[in-house]
Amino acid sequence: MTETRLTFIVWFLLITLTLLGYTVGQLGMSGTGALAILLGAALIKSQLVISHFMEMKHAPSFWKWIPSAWLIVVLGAIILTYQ
Amino acid sequence: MDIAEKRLPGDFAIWIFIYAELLVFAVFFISYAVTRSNHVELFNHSQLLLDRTAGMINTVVLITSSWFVVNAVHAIKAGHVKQCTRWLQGAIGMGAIFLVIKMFEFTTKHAEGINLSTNAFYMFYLSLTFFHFMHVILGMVILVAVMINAKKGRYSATETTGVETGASYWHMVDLVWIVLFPLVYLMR
Repeated sequence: MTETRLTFIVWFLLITLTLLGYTVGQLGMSGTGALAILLGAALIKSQLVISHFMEMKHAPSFWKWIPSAWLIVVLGAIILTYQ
Repeated sequence: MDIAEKRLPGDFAIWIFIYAELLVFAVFFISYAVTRSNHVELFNHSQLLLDRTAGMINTVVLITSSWFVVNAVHAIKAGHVKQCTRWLQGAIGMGAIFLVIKMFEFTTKHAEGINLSTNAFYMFYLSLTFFHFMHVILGMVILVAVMINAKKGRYSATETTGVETGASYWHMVDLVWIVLFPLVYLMR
């Protein structure tokens, strides 16, 4: 698969997950299930941007893990504080 | 690019800047989450009054602009300078749409009498989104500079650093919004 086609698929996934999150918000959903969907969508979307748009998949090991570690710390803090 | 070659795209200095920016936003996000845990009712109630549709449209706009920038990088790597310039112009246009929608949100909240001192939630909502808004402006300034350089023929298939540097910063602005939108507008 060409890089251009791959990044189009990534874009499509990002938009789909955005609409999923928006639907959860519009339905006024709350609680563990809604949080799991929103956090899961944010995790996948962010990692897609990190790997495919920021091209971290081609970066040296030390540097490539910094944005992913950032993401885990931020989402982890949200999980801990949203009971 | 040779897949076996491991490297950070663009100028190395931009990555130090990007990681520093991510750190600042992390502090902001964690402060929001911790403060919310002490004012759950207030945050949940105030959050319902936000314009989620405007937030969703802005997410789609920013993600699409990031994808345009990816295409600009692909174009310059293939030596297609004109295509690269067009994709960058598209990305800058999407950035402008983001700013217009955000300004609409800010003016609506201002008209409702909401400001930084309304409550803790709005203090975070206004300061976080305004801080991000400023980053969108800076990202657009960088993209405009890259686009002008591309038009002047300063980039080619063998000289892609400038385009990759601008692209990396713009993706960081997108990444931060991808966390900010669900956190501030949706999670409750």
